[in-house]
Amino acid sequence: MSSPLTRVPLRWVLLALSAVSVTTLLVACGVGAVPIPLEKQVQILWGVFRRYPLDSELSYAYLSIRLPRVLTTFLVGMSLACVGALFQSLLRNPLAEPYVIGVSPGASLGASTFLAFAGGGSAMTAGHLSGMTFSAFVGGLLAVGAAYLLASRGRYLSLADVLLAGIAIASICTAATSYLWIRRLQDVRGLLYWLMGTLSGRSWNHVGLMFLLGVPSVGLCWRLASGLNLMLLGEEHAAYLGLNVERFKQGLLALGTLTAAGTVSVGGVIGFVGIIVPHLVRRLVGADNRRVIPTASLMGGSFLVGCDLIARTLFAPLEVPVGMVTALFGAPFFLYVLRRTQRKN
Amino acid sequence: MSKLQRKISYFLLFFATLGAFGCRRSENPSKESTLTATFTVGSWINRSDGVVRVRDGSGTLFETKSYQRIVSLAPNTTEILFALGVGDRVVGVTTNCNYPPEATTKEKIGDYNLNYEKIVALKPDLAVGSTGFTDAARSPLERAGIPYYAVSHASFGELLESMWALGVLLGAEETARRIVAEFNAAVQRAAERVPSGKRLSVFWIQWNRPLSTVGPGNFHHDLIEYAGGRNIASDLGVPYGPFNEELLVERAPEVLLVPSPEVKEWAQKRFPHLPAVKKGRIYVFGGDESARPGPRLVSALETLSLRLYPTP
Repeated sequence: MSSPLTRVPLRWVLLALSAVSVTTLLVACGVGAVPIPLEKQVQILWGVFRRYPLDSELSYAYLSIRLPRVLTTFLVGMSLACVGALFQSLLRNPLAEPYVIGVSPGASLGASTFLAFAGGGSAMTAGHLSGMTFSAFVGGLLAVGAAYLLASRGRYLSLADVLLAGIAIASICTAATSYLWIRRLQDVRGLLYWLMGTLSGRSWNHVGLMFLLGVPSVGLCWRLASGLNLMLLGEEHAAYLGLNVERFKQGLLALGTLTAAGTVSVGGVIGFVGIIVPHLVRRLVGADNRRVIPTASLMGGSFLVGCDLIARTLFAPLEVPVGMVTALFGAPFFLYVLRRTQRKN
Repeated sequence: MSKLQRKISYFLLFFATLGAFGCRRSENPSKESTLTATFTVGSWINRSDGVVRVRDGSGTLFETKSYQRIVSLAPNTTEILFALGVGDRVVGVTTNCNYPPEATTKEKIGDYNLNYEKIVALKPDLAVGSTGFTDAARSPLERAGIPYYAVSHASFGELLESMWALGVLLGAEETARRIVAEFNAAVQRAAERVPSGKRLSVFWIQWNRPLSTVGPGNFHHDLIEYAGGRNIASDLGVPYGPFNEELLVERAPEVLLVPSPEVKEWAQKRFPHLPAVKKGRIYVFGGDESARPGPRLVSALETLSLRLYPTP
């Protein structure tokens, strides 16, 4: 690899990226269809700390709409990039993405089924989560669970078979979703926006869910990054080098799936982040997973926050799906990096 | 300029652009405070050399002749055809056409997905469709030699032109004239209910995940405006789309319209500070009457106007 950053110590890379993340978060909290200047933000947060009652519409808009949305977005982007890096190494497939083994078609089917049969029950809740978030989460897990069961023989799990079974199950889910759309859901145009990825209307419950799923999975993946490096050599070699391959891959597959199902239930199907950010990071800091996992996570988080900022301000008051923005802005940048690193090789 | 300087300036330029977009504070356009209108129709009718030609919503010209076998491709066109009094000439409707009741006895030609073999088998001499909803039907039908008339409904004005033109085309001018007169009367009555110069600001939640609403170019926008309300999403830029939640809080509408009791409950929880929520002015408003651009919009307009300005 040729990028000059490959030789920079990891801690400096992470320090710089943390600074970028914090800046992005601050900008995203302040800028929007309704601008909230920094001193006002501090004032509102101080008010929360002192337990003043919420006085104005502005502080409500900040605390209950802007802040949870920005934080959810960061956590979703972080999880997507981390799980993407994980799956690419684990499945040894450069095209693997967080939704690869049927998570997103399963989640779409879950959400569509809920809407079709709960009727107008879109405000229905399960615990602290809305019915739609919950059923999307369950749908995603069921689809991957099925792929997992079909691909495993006894205690042995073939990763190639998981991929193939996942693709087959994904097509079944897509067919069932199409059927529901044609038969029962013709007027729910909003669902289309959800499927294209949107982070509008996120609340603190979503922040909580993504925090519980995203932060531990980034932590675990980082901790197990050297094992992931071994997996890149192939399962047989990894086993020779002392890795408990079956336990390792089954555990990480389950972790990645759980997190991916969480992101799709919270943010809809946001493409691009999970596949391109890890590759971008590999080009920049090298392919060692101990460097890739934390770097990709931070970069994925701030990248998605930036994209959502564009999605909610560019055509305000209209919002555009964030998945559209990630592709539109991310792809040219990735192509640029691709060309640059090629030339130097 | 060194390479580094150039890079830094690109970087700054990028953020400046971002900032410029972000800080562009979208003003809520306020319109004139009273709104009265009398729709005059007829601009789609062309009478020359003794031949009457009628255009449809897409600009296609039709020569008037006696159409005897009509298929209706959407629920609203079925309602229009029956209101024009030509229901007996309708030979096919969709399974979604449930009004008026006598429409349900007609032959079925599919639902949203049309069954073209069935349509052709009915040997119709005219198909009537609805812009934006049945656009895909035009080319297969025209290829089969069946003229396709498109009713358009981006605004009340266009809808009335469509209904009037269809009335002329089918020789039902008298009933068409009455429909237009009823519309004008309802708009007039609604305008009279509005206290002098004070229109309520209204936000119509069409769907809550993500929060979506209607803008100009959608007859729902006209429904709000002619009922005496002021749509706070009149700068949405598209007929239907997701609306920024923070702006909803800032623009603080006095009335919220929601599609279902569940969404009402959701809105009360999500936006407790809105004047509409505080004053309990959230109304479940929807159903076929208001969802279908057709003659029953008159009663939807009446209902909405009375919701906004209840007469004691």
